[in-house]
Amino acid sequence: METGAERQVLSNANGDYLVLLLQPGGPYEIEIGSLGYATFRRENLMLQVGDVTTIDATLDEQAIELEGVAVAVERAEIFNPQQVGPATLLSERVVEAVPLLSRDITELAVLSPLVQVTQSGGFSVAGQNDRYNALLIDGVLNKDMFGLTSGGVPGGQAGAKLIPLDAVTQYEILVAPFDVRLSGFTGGVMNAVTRSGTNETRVRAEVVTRNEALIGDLQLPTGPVEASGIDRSLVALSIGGPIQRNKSHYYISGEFETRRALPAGFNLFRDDPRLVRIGPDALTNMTDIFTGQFGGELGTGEIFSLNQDLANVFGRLDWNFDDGSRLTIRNIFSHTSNDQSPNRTAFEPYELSSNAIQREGTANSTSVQLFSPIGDRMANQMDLRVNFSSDETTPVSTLPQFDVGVLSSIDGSAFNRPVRFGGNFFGQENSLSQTAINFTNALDINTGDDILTVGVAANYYDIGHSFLPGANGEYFFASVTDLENNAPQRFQRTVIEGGADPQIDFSVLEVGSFIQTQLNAGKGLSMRFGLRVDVPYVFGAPQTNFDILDFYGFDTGSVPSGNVMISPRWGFNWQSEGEKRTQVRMGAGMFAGQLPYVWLANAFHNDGVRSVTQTCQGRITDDPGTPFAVPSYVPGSLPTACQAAPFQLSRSAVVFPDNFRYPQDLKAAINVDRELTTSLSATFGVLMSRAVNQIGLRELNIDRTAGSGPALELGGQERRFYRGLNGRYSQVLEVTNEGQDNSAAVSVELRGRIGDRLNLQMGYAYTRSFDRVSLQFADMQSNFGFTPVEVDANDPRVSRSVFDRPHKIVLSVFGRPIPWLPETEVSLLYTGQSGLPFSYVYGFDLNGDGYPGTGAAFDRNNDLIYVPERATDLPASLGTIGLFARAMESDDCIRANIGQIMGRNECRAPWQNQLDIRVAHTFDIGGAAVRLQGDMVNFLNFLNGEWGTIESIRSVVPLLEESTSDAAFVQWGGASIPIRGDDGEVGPADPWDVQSPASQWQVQLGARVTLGGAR
Amino acid sequence: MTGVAEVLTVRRLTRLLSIPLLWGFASACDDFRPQWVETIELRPDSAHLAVGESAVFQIEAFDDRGELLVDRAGRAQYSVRDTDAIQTDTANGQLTVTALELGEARFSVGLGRGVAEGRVFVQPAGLARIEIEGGDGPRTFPPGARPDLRVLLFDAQNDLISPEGFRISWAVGDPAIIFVGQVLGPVTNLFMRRSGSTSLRVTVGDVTTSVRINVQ
Repeated sequence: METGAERQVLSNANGDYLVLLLQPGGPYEIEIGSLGYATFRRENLMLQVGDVTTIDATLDEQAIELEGVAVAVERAEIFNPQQVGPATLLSERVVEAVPLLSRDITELAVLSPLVQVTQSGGFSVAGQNDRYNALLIDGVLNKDMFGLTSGGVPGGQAGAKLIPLDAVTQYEILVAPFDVRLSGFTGGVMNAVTRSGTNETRVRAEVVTRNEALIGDLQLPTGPVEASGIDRSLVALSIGGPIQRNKSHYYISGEFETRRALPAGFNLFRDDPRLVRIGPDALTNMTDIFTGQFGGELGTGEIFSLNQDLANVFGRLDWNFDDGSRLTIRNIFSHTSNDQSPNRTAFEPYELSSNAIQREGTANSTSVQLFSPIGDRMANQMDLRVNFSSDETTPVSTLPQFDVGVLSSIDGSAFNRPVRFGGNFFGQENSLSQTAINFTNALDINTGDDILTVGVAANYYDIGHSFLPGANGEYFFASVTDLENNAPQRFQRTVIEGGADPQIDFSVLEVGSFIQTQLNAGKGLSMRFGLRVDVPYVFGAPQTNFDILDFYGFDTGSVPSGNVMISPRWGFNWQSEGEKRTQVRMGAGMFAGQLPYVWLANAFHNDGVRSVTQTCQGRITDDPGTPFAVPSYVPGSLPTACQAAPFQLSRSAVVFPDNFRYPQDLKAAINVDRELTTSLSATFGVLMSRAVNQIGLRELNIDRTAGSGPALELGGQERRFYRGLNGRYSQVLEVTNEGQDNSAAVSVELRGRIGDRLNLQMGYAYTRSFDRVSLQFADMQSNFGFTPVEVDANDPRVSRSVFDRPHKIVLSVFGRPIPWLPETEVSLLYTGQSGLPFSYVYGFDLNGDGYPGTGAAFDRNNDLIYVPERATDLPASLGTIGLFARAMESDDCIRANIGQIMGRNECRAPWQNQLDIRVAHTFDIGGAAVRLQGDMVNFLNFLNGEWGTIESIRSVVPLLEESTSDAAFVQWGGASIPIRGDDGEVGPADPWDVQSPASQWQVQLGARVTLGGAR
Repeated sequence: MTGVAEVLTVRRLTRLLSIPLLWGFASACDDFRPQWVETIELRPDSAHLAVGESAVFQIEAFDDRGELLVDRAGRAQYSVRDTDAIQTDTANGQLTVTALELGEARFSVGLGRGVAEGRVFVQPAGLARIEIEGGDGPRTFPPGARPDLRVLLFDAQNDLISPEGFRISWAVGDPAIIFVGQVLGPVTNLFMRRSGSTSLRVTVGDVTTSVRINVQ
């Protein structure tokens, strides 16, 4: 190949031969020879990752090369005896062609109809949790195993990218690979194959830009808003070439980028106050009162710039040794800083800019791969990777967090919405550093008909994590009047006992071994049997809380360690004889995943001893004799006790049973591939997944009790009510194993060429996903607290997962369609998918289960709305009844649940359509290939401003809040639209936000210059 | 499908069959059950001490299935209400009480979800025997009679001693036959409600005696 790498193998007596562990890519040249026979030669052979390419050669005694030797290099990549499970393989041509605005390679996963983008921006593979995927680079794990973010990219909390785009030549999405060499996932596997240097030096420079002049208007319910404050500039450089021809090569690629955006949602002073539910004057009055009385920087309620800076550098060195061995060393560095948007959605407190947080992520990963042929029949692959990464979250403000209820009169209507400012509650003490060492060694033995693979794997993670929500405290003022009187309603702060370091430290060693046999049974049939055993060991433990042990029976000092997970897998590939136009792929087996270790860290942070939440409740002015009344706020200091009593103390705990096992699923899949024409193939697939050990949660610190008062009017016949069991604790969560989660998918895909000039890749999938807890968050209190409760908080029904998005259509067409402009490439990518699911909940703790509550349960609303027969049955004011009545008319989801408590994730945001196009033209100027490129993302929105809207929505929407008036029990919790319809009445705004700028057409321009190199 | 037959040799099938066996073995190792302290029993639940004497209280802890939890009792938390009658010392889940002056003290003990209450009575020294005035033989009273009965306290030398400072309580076996008009004190007043036979029991400190009473 271009790197000069050479491998030689001997065939067996039947003439069968196999060359193992070749580097994906090419072009390869193959020579087959035997004494006394003519040498067969084939050139320009390109290999996909995971490919087994069959090259049959007939050697003649005559020294003449035969015509018509069957070489199937142009066949669709999926016709491959190694392929067993559903997969999407993206060649370099696709990677190059797809309009990828973000230049984030992981986003190519959307080309699989079985992959859905989740609420948090991760990827759900066939309805599985987006934290359960494995992210690989050249087959080596490159994932943030701590799992702060759902995408799994190291440093991803700050929005880091995995790798510079130019460094990637192929990308594959394996939905259920029945290959025991791959482990550590119950979702899917995404693997990026990187570029290596070749014998020819290649230099490439690229610039990409986008600004507000190239972006369409944002369509809000009240009308269009001109794009502003959005821009991006990127510079990418890469160079690759030989160090020593045919022996050693280098490749370096860097991407440096700055982005600027605005907070998504409705922004005061720009958008109609009814959408924000706060009057500009009321906000100004509140901020004036606060700053006049206490000073401090509250930030702005207007739009403001959110900045992101990204740097990614990738380097690779390759050596080819004379004995056929190949050594590859890679280094990936990323540094990202990112301003995270404050809440400007229609629900929950409106956040000023001081409540935003800044995230910073740094990751460096070095990997070594050694491919060694051992004799003619064996090959060994050794992978070693060392990764260091850190994630820092810093609140913009050093103040405590403040919530102030702001009453506004807007066009004669009264609105009450809290305004939040000061240091973000969950960002007040939040940092992570981790070291990961991953080792895998696999030996392939070619026994003739079979390939036997044996291997071992070891992953070591050393983790230091600080997470203390509310470390700087939080004050809640019920009204601006209370703020004027400096009479807070609530104060809470979480501290570490004895002032100790909030950081927890532990390490994990995962060891595994596997054996697999790939049997070539002839007649086009190959089968694969594999068995993998994985055992995770945890080093370090929280301290034992004997009170928890004696009261709940769980030892907080014991974390699950040494529990064996066995994953047998079986796979089957049959290709029809002759031209092999039909292929059946089938597999079944167990998949053992890794636990996102942030979930395990919950047990270290929350042992019920280490940290304590100090709380005071009640206004001094209302009842001066209230012992736990909140002291007045004094700038620069925090209370050391309540007004006339010590703090009310509460602690939380997260416990794991000793026999807890990491996620494990049973999967079965069948795919039938058929070549429809020589250039077009279709695949029909069915995939089913059933949890063997998935993860659930149980709140141990609640006990059933009878409901009372107006709460009974809100689903009291069916709803269960609770009281705290042990007053020393706020929440005590048990992380359990559940076995009822399940998902199923049916998919149809079509891929190939249309005529001579266009390539096609399209697919449709119908995927359903059901679970008991969807586990979207890093902390377990959030996972429990954001799981809406239908009836029983501790026995949630198996219902729609938050990862359930039933329909997805993807269509990608690319090529050079204009005969007289052969260097002009056009690419089109359409994705259409079901909207995100969500639940309507109350914005307070209706059922008494402690959520929302103090500490980490802050703001975690989980009680599903009861829809009364008539809106007038609602214990609310006329204004709220009016809005709810309109919601009952206009919202199908609410209307479908009249007379009952709504189901979890039963509602769904609208269907999403997105059409992106790319036009690129390449010139040759003085030996340099100059490529000019224009991307238009959301072309539908360009055609019609009403089209192409991308909605985002939180999985829980607090539609009704606790009333601030004694005359009512609940009040409207969302925004309203000033005028809807002919009657001129106020109506409820949609519960979702229009994503910006994703919902606007955007043009991004780029220019790239390439000097040298064939690739 | 000759290929299948070729693939599924006996050796390979055996290999496959071992998989569910291994899985079953691994699953069988799962025996975790949370064991919390549901109830506790205080041993003893009360003590009668003379000034200067000591007693040791401890608990036994049981889970929700009634199984004894042997390693938990050492963490029992005792809470003694304000009293001058005793001095207390808690260590290793035990409560050691030393009587200081005549009187009574109550305490509670908790562990997990279990709670129990204990009492300590500090009484004069020297009580060796008690007797209901009139001897140990059965007494007979007619229905409607209201006799007074007295308990006599003796020391080791069989000399009468004063009942002052002692906690004295009276009880009958069948309250439907006899109503105890005076439950505490050295003298009780009984009301014979209807015909029948039952026992009358008097307890002084930790010494008890009884007589049979016939109502006819």
